[in-house]
Amino acid sequence: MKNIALLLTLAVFAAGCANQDVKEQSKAAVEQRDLLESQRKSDEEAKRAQIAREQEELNRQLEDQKQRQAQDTAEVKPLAQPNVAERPLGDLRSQLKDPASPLSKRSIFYDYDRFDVKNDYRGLVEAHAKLMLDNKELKMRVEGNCDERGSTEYNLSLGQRRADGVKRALMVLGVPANRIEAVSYGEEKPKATGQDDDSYGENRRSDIIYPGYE
Amino acid sequence: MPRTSSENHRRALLKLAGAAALTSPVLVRAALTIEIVGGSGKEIPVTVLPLANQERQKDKVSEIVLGDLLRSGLFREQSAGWMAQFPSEPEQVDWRNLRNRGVENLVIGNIVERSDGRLALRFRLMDAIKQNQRTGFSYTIPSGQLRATAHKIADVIYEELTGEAGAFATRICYVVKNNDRYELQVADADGGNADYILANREPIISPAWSPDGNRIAYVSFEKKRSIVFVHTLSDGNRHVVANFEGSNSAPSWSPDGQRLAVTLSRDGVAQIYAVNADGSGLTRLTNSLSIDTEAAWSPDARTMLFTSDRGGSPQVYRMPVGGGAAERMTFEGTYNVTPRWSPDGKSFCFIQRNGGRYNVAIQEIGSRSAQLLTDGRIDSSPTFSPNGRMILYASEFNKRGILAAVSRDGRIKQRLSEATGSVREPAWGPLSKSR
Repeated sequence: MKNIALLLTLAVFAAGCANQDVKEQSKAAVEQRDLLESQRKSDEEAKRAQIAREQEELNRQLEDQKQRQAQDTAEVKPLAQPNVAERPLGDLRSQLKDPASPLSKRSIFYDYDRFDVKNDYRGLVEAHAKLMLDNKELKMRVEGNCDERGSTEYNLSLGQRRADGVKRALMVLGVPANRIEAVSYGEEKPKATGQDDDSYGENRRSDIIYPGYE
Repeated sequence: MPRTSSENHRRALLKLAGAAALTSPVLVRAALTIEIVGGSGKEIPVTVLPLANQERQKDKVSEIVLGDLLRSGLFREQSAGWMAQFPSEPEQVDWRNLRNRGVENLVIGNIVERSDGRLALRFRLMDAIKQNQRTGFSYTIPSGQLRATAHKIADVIYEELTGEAGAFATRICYVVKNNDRYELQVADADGGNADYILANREPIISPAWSPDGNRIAYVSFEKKRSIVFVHTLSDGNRHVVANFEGSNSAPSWSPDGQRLAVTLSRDGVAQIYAVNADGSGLTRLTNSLSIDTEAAWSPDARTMLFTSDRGGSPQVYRMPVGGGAAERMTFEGTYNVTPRWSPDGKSFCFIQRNGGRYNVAIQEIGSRSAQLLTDGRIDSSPTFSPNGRMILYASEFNKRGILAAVSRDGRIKQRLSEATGSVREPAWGPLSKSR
């Protein structure tokens, strides 16, 4: 132990000597670092503000939708009722399997550490919203997933955010919240078991599931 | 109180094991095997002689004690193979010969089977240079406690020779995944005595020991969604602590064992709440638009560390236990998660993304920079040993989940693995109160 302490003291002494020469340089480095730090801070603030804006926008859309729905249901209810009874879901199973049907696509994929539903999936979400609106007794489950990297618990929360994001998009399209269950499996249910970017990409997803029809 | 079929199955198994115990001695479960992959470089020499009459017992005390000491990485064995006869009392020791062979620390003792069926066990740690006793204890125990007692002896020797508390007589828990079967297992800190307390077809994550070591909180997906349970080890009973819409997860005990911090997504996004251990008295602690999770109650019960992405990337923050203004703790890199306090409350370990890797790092409270301790591809779920010396964590080896441990200075590394299956989500239990 003593030897190590002595060596350390010597090392510190040597470092101290070198310090004199590099003081000017390190001052510049500190300024550079401060600059980067403030840049990073403002980046973070911008991202935070954007998240807040997105949230606000979603809430506003949701509120509009609710109001419209309240008006709609009052007016169209008598017409909608018989429709529901006459639409059996017998062919849903085959539609979900048929590659030609838009309903056969039930996974939404994400970028690393992101939970926003990309524009590419607008058609997919709309197709499922329509199915839900046309079949008022149908229930849906959205399962959020993550790739295996990082924290089990952070990934569970991220997966929930992904699933909730899909649920919110469906709600904006008029599907009532009580017919969609959004859950997260975090990193616990990977679809691909490889340790490469393709596999990770496949695991960062939300799956739409119709219990009883899969 | 919900009881699953897996639980009933478990009860049946336990009964079976009890009945079988009459004819076959133990229900054998695969134990973790431990391999040391690094050393301190300056180990203390120790000689542990077989205790007189120990060969009549199933558990060989001297082997367990020596195994514990060697695995810490702080000791090296000085063999006594040259001895014609092993002394068990101080007056039988040939001091001159010992000194000539360079023996410094000698452990001797004996076991006596009493007429009531219990065992009287005695050990002494002798200083071979000064020719006197450094410490020694005697125990009267049922024979089933021989292994546990050997770990206690290792703790006494460890503390006497290193000056810090040992953690051999402690337990760990972890999740083993074998195909579609998940088991929450509890084992001695050396991997011995492993058995499961819960088996599921769905994932189990985030086990957390209560401060008294008698309960484990965990997250089970057995109902196809995450629910927080508290499970009592002594009777196998359990109850739901949090089962709200969305995710229920990340349990962390208050130091007095009365409350749990949990993460719930019920109000729109994962936020941290506190709840009584029986599930009553829910209070929201964080109010943000971001993911707040992985709360860790400080040992002094005043603050909590937690993970939040409120700054744009997940980082470690600290807040008062009642909630309120949070202070950012980590500043290096864009991914710092899973903070865990050291038992003395002076530092914390966490997972830091390091290029493409995810590794265990340690940071002093009050410092803004961390020291990386591991170099695996994806390390996760770090947990301090209760004496603060080692950090147990989940890693991988040959593409399989394994447990590994690293000393807080990064110099000693151990790899623990099970014969089959993938091991993850470790949690190290508290120090036992008795010695």
